Amino acid sequence: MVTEHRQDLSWMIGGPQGSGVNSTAELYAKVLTRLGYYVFSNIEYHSNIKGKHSYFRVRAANYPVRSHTEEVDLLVALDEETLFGDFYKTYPSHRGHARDVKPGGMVVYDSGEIGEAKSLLEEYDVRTYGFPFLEVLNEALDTIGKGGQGKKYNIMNNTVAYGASMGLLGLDFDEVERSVRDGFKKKPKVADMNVVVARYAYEYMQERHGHEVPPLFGSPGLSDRIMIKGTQAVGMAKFRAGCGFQSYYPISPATDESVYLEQHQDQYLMTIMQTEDEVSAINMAVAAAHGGVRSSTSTSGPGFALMPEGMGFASITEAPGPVVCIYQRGGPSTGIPTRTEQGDLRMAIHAGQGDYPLIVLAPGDIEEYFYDTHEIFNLCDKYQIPAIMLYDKYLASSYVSSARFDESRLQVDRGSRYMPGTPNYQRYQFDGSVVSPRAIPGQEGGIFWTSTDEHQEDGHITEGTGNRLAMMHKRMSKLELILKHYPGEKQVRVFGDPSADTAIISWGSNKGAILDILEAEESVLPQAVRFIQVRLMHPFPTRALRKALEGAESVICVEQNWSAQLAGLVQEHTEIHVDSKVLKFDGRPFSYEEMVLGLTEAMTRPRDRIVISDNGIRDEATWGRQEVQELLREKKQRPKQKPTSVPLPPGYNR
Amino acid sequence: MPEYKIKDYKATIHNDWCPGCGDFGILSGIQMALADLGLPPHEVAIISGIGCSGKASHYIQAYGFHTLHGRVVPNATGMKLANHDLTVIGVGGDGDGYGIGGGHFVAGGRRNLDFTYVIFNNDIYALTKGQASPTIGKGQRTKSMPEASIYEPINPVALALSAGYSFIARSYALDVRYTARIIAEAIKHPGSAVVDVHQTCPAFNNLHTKTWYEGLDREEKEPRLYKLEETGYDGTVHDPDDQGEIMEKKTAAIRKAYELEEGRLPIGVFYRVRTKTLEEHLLDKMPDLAGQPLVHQDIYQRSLEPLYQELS
Repeated sequence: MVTEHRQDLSWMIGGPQGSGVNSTAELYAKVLTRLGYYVFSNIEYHSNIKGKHSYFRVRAANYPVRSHTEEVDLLVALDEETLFGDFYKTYPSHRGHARDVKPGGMVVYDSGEIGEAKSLLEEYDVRTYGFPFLEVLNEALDTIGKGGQGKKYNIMNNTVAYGASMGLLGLDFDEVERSVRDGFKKKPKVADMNVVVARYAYEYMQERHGHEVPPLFGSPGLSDRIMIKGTQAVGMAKFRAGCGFQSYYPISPATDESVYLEQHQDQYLMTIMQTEDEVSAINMAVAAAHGGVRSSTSTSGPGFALMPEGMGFASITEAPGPVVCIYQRGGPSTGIPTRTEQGDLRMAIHAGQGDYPLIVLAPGDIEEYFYDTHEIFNLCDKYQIPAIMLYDKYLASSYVSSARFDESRLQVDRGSRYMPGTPNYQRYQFDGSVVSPRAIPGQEGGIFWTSTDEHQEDGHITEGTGNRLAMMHKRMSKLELILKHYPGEKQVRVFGDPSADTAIISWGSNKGAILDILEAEESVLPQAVRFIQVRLMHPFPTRALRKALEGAESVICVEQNWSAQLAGLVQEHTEIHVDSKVLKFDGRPFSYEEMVLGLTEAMTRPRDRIVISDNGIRDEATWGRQEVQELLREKKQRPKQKPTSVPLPPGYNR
Repeated sequence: MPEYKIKDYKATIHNDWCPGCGDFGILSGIQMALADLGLPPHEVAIISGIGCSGKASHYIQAYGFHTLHGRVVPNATGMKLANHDLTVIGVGGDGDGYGIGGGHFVAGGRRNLDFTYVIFNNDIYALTKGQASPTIGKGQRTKSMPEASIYEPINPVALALSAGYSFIARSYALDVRYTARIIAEAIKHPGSAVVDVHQTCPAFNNLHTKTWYEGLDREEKEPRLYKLEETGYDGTVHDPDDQGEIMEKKTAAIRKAYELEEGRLPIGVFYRVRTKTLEEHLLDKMPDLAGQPLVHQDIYQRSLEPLYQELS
């Protein structure tokens, strides 16, 4: 087999929310997945329904990719803001993405809509493919007897752009058509119309410019791949694990998971409750767990902030669960609701009053989202404790191409259960085993009481000192048991050169960019490194981490939060100093380039805080303010810009 | 079928409620109702909140969950949905249900889950030594309160009605037999049933005493309490498809609910209607649940093939 040179293509579509940015990108990613490429995508959007700027990056490659890149090969712009930023606003916030296009890269845009700012494109060394979307749409509609109705159907602008960009790349139109039909599965008539429009735009672009663009590099021919995002991987794991109960209160970016579950609940018999608030959500899930059903609730930071009381409840009553899924987003408070962060680690491990046992696990890629979520249900049953899964917005909403999961690896262990006929059964008996057999309401002979008050072996309340010590010991011993039984290589994972002097510690979604760096064809970092991915966040894997850090001379910790939450834990538990912290808390995930930048800086100029934002190393005290001022200055010098408008659905257009 | 006696529902532990507490009446009422209905103790789950009434779950021989302050409804909901064969009874105080748990109380009515919620209503937070609860009247001051309440009280029956409870009743703790009868009706009712039980608190509530309820403080000695059905009142909707009847019964219930403010305290069933329960709605979505409750379903390791298909 000939090893092909590594190649990848970064495609980006941007436009106002509600104009089909997401759906178009999903179609594109699906086509590339079906054509056998490795695909990784990333979506950025505002907390808004219609109008604000969103963009979706899809990276396709002939080698495994797990991160997005700053540089774009082909930009599809549905509006002017996508190209040049939001200078039409009183306080502009970004400069658009024309500047992200590689030298020699391509830009497809609507020349009919983009006004005076068009001249700005000349500043960039890019190939431009502007054409009037509305005219092309009208011409396409003309072929099915709906000529001149483009304005009415301008919701299909995204299909025009999609078809045109696929024509430019010369990708197989049959696949394009298939993707469009998939996108409108339940509306065959709408699908037909979109296929006509996509084909017209495809041919329009191919005839005019197809010859200018060399065919896309060959795919590695991966077969039987799926295109999946984090929330779906979690949902699949829940179904497979036999989670029968899910409660949730709508919140970005967690809701996608519950909606996905609802779409399939009948096949897997999962009862799903949209609750009045997160307090209710966790309480229902705790009760369902006591009721004998595997249960879960999904939320993000603000929602979990309402749940600590329920965590303590689950833990002191030794419920087998629930599994609480936190899709982290930028805090504090409402924060930046649709942007990513890893700022909830401390809240997760310290949630609630008093000392109580719980497990906190942080998976770092789509496979881990699936396998860890499946396994956490076993751990909850085995130790009769609640658990938190720390995901983040980045991977939750990133579509990646993936092989199917290996289900033969999966097992279900529901832990120690009450055997009917056991004489003098007591739910919390001190028999030295830490975890007592649990009865399920409805079982004859299994009647027990439980209380959020401190309780004795039969579950009734007591405040006696002897019982208090015994019960605290019984519950808290679970943490040591977990550290003993949960394999060390699952607590922390080591990649790269395990004996390298430099150790990178990180967690969660940063794993992708770091692994891409480790696997680069030519070394991109100044030093050889070992990369330690901390996965078990609580109880803290002190022994495993110490072992992984043995002999390391310098330690770098990479996190997406302000206070280096993991680095603090590392220092507290291992007493090993973290030399440099590479931090990002601007709500955007580390791109490949940003990760290279941060790690290189930490290796060449080690220091306490290295803050990364917008593909640069930033002085957090001054840079942000300067940037805000700079944007305001630029606004004055720029040609006038047109505010973005969103097409309305049919029935709303006049 | 084995017969059950009241003692079969009594847990053998020391009860630490104050002597003369109205809680005893409600506890006995629940135990009598369970015996009357002949429900096997292990098929009953008692979900309680926090406060004096929260301890009730410990005193009943049944699966007992002494949960969190205000969280009776969500816990009852999770338990019932895990196993719809269980008889699930929520118990908690007025502060628990109408105050800190107010949002859950409302949602509990909207969902129409088949469960029973018995509220121990003594107008105060007793376990913390007698602060005003949401049901104490404006301008009222018990001996435990430093000042009179300046808030409007909640009317539990009216609140339950607007929230969508399909069985709404009120009782009086010291009339144990009547309370037992009402609770048994509530348990039998398919849907969300709330029983607001007025109770005395000898420790802190010196306003609403046994004497007060019985009207012995009045010159004419006329009891404030009376039974709705004895006046010919019928709160049951006989044709649930008849919107007119529903409206008529709701209006009558509201009128009766507010007699409280006129110094009269009707007890009995204010409103009852048979509407589709949450469990019945879930059966429409998931017909396979019909065979047995969720907890007994084999839902582990089902094939993910259909999901892969959709993603490939």
